[in-house]
Amino acid sequence: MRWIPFVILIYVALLVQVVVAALPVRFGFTGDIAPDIPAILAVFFALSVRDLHDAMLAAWSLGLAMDIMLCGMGGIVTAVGPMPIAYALGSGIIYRVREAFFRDRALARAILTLVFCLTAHFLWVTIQTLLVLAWSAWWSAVAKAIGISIYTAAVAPLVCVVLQRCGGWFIATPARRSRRR
Amino acid sequence: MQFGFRLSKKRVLFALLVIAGATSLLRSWVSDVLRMPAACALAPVSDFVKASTSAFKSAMADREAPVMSAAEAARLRREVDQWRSAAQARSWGEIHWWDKYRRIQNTLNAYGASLKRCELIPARVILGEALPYGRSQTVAKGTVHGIEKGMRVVDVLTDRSKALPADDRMRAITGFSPASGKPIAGSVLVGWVESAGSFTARIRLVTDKRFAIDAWLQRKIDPGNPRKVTVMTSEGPTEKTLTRNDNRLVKVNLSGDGERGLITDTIPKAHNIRAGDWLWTIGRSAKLPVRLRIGEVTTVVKSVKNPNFVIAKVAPAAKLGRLRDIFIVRSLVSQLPPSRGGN
Repeated sequence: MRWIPFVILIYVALLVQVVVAALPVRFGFTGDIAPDIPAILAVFFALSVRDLHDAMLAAWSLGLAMDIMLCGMGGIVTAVGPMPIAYALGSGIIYRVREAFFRDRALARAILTLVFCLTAHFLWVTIQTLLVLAWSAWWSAVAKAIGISIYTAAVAPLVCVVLQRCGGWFIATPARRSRRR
Repeated sequence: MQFGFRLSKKRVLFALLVIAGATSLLRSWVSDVLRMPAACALAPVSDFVKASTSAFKSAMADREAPVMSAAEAARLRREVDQWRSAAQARSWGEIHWWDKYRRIQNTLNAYGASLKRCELIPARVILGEALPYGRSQTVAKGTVHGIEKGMRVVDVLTDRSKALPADDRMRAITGFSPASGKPIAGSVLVGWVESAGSFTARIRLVTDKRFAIDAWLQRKIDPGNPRKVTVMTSEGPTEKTLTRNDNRLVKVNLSGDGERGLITDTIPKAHNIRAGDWLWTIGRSAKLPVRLRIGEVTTVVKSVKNPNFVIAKVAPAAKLGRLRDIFIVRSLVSQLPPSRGGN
């Protein structure tokens, strides 16, 4: 990983995230939803880097940035910390299962992003709820997490087209397809 | 430099996960310490980003009224001049009325519902939430500018249906927003300050689930559609038509619904609340000693627990999706002379 360009990428990703969050889409059972751009980046790095620890460190950093920018959830002031853990765990899962997919396919990226987002956001919502024991907020937050995950998965292939072109700026040694059978 | 152990990526990752776990457990002690500097770091660029987003949303949401024609503006000017001269003739013509007018002015200055009882600190919204789980905004004003936790936040509404030509004398008469040039139509409640750092503060919007406030509900009198209410008389509960004279304000508790609106607590069905009724701040609170508009009732639904009560859904009066320049209210109530009783 090239960490200095990666830090700049986090800054840019956060700004983009703030813009897309300000233009939410409304669905019946989820309420307002917006795509999670740093999650798409985390999946991209989990699919592209050679080392598991690089993928998880990148996801941890993106998760921390997101957690700092998420101030509230369903009536509670959120803590900083659960999102880096959730992102790192989600990234680890994607890294482990990536060999089972054709990574360059748009559908594969969308499915993996959906799995990542569902894992990360479900964990985040549950940990935040556990920290303050506000279970009344849990159901609505989980519904929103599902909506956000689906929206992010739908957007992921488009974002990945851009990332594919400038992936070399951030990844020194890209992953190769494993020869294991 | 020699460490006792090899600094591998695996160990760094483990240490970072432990730190994340620790900050999670420390909750708000750490979160505000991290969030305020992060907002400062993003502010230079996010200010531009926020401005673009607000402008885009305004362009998408508003249909601009055509600029008032010169003839229409002239007619309006004549009308205002007539009213002013009539008012002057009345007040100057009769000393008795003039004296009464002065007394009313003095009373208004001391006790009346005007923002003279507050100091307004202008602030600019620079950042929103990264995902719509919560409803808060960050402004570029902090404790060094006098912002404190709990202060109320208001916005001015401009009447977009009355776009005045530039350099028109009507602007000086009505007051206008420097940003848009539109006449100011009123002030509305936006939320309150949730936490304040040195240079930034986080605003909890009225639509956030954590927002709760007491409010007055004002029922609108529509002669074309009279409203029957149940009142208690010596003969028991009696149904009568609501008139302007007995239209008392109804005190309700309002809270954000976590999305784009607010909901009231249960209100007795006898009040016959309808869509279109207005909600106002109490106006006697130490934090906000003026009466401001909060929103308008959009739907009224029956309470699930008790059929004799209803719950009203309220649309906020402030344009929360396009907030840009807002005002934080510093109450000056403690500096006012003590009340001598009476209303």
